Amino acid sequence: MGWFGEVGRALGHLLVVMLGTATLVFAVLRLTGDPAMMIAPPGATVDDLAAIRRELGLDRSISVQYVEFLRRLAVGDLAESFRYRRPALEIVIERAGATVQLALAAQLLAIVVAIPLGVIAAVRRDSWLDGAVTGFATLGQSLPHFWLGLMAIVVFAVYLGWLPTSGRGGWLHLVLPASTLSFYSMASLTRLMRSSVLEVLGSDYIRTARAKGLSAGRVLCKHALKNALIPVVTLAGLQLGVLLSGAVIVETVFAWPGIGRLIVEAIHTRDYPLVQAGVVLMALLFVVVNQGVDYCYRWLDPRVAEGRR
Amino acid sequence: MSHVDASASARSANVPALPDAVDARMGPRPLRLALKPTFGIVVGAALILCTIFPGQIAPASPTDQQLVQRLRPPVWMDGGTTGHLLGTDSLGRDVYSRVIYGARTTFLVALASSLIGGLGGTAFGLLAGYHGGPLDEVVRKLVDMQLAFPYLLLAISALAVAGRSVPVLVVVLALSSWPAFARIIRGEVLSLRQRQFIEGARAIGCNDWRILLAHVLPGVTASLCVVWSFDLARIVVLESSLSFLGLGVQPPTPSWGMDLSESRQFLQIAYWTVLFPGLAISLVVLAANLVGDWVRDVLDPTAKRNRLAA
Repeated sequence: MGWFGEVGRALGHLLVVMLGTATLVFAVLRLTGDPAMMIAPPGATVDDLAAIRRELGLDRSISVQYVEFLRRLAVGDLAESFRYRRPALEIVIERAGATVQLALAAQLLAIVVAIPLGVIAAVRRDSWLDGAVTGFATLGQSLPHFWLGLMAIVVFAVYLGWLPTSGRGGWLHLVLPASTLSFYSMASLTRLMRSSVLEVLGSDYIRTARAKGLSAGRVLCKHALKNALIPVVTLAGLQLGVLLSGAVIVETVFAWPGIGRLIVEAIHTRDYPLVQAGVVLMALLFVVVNQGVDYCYRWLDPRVAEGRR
Repeated sequence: MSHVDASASARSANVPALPDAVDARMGPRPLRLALKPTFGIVVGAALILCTIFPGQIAPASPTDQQLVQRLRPPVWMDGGTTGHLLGTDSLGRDVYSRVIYGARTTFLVALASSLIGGLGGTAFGLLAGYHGGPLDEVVRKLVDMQLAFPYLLLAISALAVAGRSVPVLVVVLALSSWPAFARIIRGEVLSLRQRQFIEGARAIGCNDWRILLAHVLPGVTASLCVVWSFDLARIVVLESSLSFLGLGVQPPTPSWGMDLSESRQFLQIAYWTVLFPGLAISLVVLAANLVGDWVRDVLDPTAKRNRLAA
């Protein structure tokens, strides 16, 4: 397939996924109660409610609303938030920074910790060190974010008093939420790094490198690591999307002012446009990151593209 | 097509991607293999016992409020009493009893959802992998679409919309689990259907249903067990996360996630109200993950290679 075909296919895929997401969001949200009731002042009359519905375009048929929603989506106009009376997209983008900061910090931490841990575990396979690392990884995949976060608050904020309990401020405020969020992906990256290094170390070209008389360190750093990192980089990229949505929980625990918390609040106040904007933006980020990683992966490892793997 | 499978398996949160073929070659490691199933069986048995006989195990009613006794610490701390081994919560309810009664909610909800989702996903995976063509395209697109969507957000919106009840919760959770089954089973079937015994079955005139159910399905049971254990772990976390956001099981039914969320505001003065329900969730998830690991190590050496090759 030519380069143009590839790009066309990727864009087509992106479009299908986005359309599906948008439809899903629209369908789920419009099945709920009447938003006019939520924003109307207490004691509003039936006429007042009708006026609000008319103003918000809620009096039109569902299909008209749907087409209108898609049309606006295509030009990036996602209506006004019912509650804030401002363009929903604007509010979401304001909050996006906090979420992206949290997710990136978490993933950076995860990568920085996971790669050395995985390498150590693989090189010292079956030692107590390997056992400890593998145990940590299994534990990390099993502890739920919200509990970990709450326990971290008890230990580091309440008892030790080293870090603030919640909110966003200096970098100290970032430590607990980012560590909490990174735990899961740190664990899976560690596992993957370990197995990936083990797999590469067992391959023929490493045996050749060893046979040439290269030192163990040189074999590891110069030859093994580069290839062992390929699946890890892939997973790290794909996890970014998962982290963005996992941030909903962590943002709630630590009162972190990101998109996740905004969406949860907006759902409780039935602020549809805000929820739509938030979810669509998150889905877009998610899809773009995943597609990007997919292409990086094929570029890093041409065997995959050729279908030999 | 292969890149889709390779990266798609990396995309799933709980099914570890690109499994280590090396481990399979090394053969079983006796100590670790023994530890994993033992832990899983002990926690699983405790969970089932608490589900069936909570009244016999728990010392008190989970909903019995004694406001005089509120926020009592566990027995080993100053002010703790043997009447409340793990202390009491903000309404004076016995934390130990609530943890025991909460097991039922978690276990039944997780079991129901993963069975429904697993059956659906497996059926889709079998059909898509076996028949290929447009059906396969559709299933793959659906899986991609769902994985391309931050599912937690969909679950939150759906529960906020459809009301917070156990049946809705089960449906939402089941919907979250079918893609993992569909994707992995499809991959397995893709390689299985090239095998000679399938061709043989076709040659002697078996129809598609018979081939699928009698020949292909047994070939994927090992992977099914693995996916299922990991999925159970994932569902327990998702269920408790939703309950934590106040969207899961509603009071007065005891639920670990909800207990955590209710006790959150007392975190600074009564950590035990948060510690123990969370510990229970973590133990169950850990047990399911370990069992999944173990089953994969024992049963799955060839399937692992197949998943890479698919």
